[in-house]
Amino acid sequence: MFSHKMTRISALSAVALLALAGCGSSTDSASNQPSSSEASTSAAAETSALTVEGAWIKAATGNMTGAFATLTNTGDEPITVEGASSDAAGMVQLHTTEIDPNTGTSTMKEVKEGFTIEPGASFELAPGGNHIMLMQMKCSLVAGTSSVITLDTSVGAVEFDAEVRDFSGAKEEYAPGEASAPAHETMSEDQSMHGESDHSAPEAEQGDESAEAVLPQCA
Amino acid sequence: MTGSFDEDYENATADVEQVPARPASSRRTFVAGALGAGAGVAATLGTQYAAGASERNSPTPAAPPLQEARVPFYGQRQAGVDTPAPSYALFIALDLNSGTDAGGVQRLLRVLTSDAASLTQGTAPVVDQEPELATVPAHLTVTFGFGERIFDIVNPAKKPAWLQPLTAFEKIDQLQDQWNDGDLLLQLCSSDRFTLAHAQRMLLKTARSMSRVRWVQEGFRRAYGSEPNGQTMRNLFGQVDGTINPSTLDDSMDRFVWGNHEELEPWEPGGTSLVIRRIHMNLDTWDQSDRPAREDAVGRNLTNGAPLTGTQEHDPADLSATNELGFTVIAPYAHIRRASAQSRVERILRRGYNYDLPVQNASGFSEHFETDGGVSNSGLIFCSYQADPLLQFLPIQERLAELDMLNTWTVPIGSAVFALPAGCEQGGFIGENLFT
Repeated sequence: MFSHKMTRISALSAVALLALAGCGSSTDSASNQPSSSEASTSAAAETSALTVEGAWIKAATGNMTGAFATLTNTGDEPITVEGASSDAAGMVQLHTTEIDPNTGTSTMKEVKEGFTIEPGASFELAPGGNHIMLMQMKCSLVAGTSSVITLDTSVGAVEFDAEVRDFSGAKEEYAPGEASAPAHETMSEDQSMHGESDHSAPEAEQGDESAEAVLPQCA
Repeated sequence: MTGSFDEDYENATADVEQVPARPASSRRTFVAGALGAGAGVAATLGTQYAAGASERNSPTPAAPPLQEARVPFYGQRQAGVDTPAPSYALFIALDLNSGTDAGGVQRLLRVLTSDAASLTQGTAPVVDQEPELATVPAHLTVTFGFGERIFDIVNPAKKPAWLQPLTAFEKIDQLQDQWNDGDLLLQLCSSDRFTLAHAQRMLLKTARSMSRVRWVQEGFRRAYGSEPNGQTMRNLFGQVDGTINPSTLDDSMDRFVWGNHEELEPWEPGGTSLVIRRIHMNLDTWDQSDRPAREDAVGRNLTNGAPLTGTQEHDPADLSATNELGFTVIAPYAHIRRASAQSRVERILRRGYNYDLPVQNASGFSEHFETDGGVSNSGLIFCSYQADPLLQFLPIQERLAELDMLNTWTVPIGSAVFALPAGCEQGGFIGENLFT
């Protein structure tokens, strides 16, 4: 009876399953996070040596946003994530965050060579660190939905559902010249997520000053 | 409830444990945690100030008890109703943004369910920016309740007939709109106030783009470890409060709270209802009444809560017993006489919490029926759970509103009714049955 909603449900199901499975051990050996919460791995990813856990995308109504997850290489050979794609975005890049040697500020830059993950290792995509950058957004991703991201890897395509969540962080600026607009300007547009509301002050201000139209919600 | 904390937990979660989809490991973890909790308390308390360095060096230090104290989230019924009430609670009423449609309600319930499922198990949600604060579950439960508007938006046909504000009790109510009603209730309970603070912050961040906070009520009972498990709570008047409660040790919880009763029907299988009444308690005028008058007002003694016709808390009250002058021992206006069931279904689960708000620039005394003044701002978050509030709660409340000596010192200042939906399994979300 839920067949038309299976995509979302399967993502949340995996989330729940791993959240419970993680009850016994509160520390993820692969990261210094106290909890290795959640996962949403599609059937395609389960058959791959590359597993995807805790995948999520920052909700956005503007033209760019970030996607995050923990990638684990369960195979015997190194795996390189060479790129990514999403039906919701016109362009998707792999990004890293690094200190600009000239200004000393933290900036995001494309990683053209991709992310290489050694056998048995986990690779964290997280706000303030490495991440998947979604640009030229075609539609708004709103919290409580999920969206499919496909990784192009050296072991083939790996597809996974990512839950869309409101998030105030992940605002680091781009390096000059890397992108058309500083990320923080565009990302602060997520305030206009409040579009359904008519009684919060921030959105009233947004409405006054925002020149950018809110994209229609992703299907 | 008369059983121990651990027995109550096992009993309360018995039906949950039969759900086949649930991994056996989580149950074992939980039970071990619950049993360990009691045993671990003495050792932990005795050593907590000296232990720092040596415990850090130990390869496998015993986990402090509340780190393992998990109440299962998934199941046919939501936790936080017939599970034992931990020390602290937050009741958060949200109002949905105007224009919210069914899709919006579903998105909100999905993300809140996802966060609640993680937090209650001591696991940080993916978007938790303080994941270190999510590691102590401390019996955390997150219980969802629906106001009328969720049904109006999603599925009016499923709206229970009783789901509406209670008719005002004109003789006693001084309701303040700031404590009334709400579209979506989140009831958070935990043995650790810090755990509650983080869970509240996480859930409100998750809900923020889709709703606004209408009110938050914060309450407390005795701290974890203060009293024997299963002991009936006391309110700030010093009264034993909640003696005649349905229990998970027999079928009374199942019958009266979950509606497994020939004269009751749950609004949906696994669902129930919650009436929250914020009761201001005037500690100043209460102070004017001496101990015999206090006991006479309720019909129970203050020492152990026994009815004035008995010696033990759970002795049945003899409402017809008279004294040597021919007066009934339990007065005509005594709370327990007025509250005693007049039909087969008039039983409710009281699972309230005390409140005691900080005051500023306060002095003097508060007078009868005043809800401010004096040096205290105290009361009870009265919580009544039952399958059908109109059949079970309302007749009792009507009698109490008409006559109850306790009304001398109490003023209802807030009122809300919520339909508590069934629980869900992994992969589902709380409230999913409204969308089918």
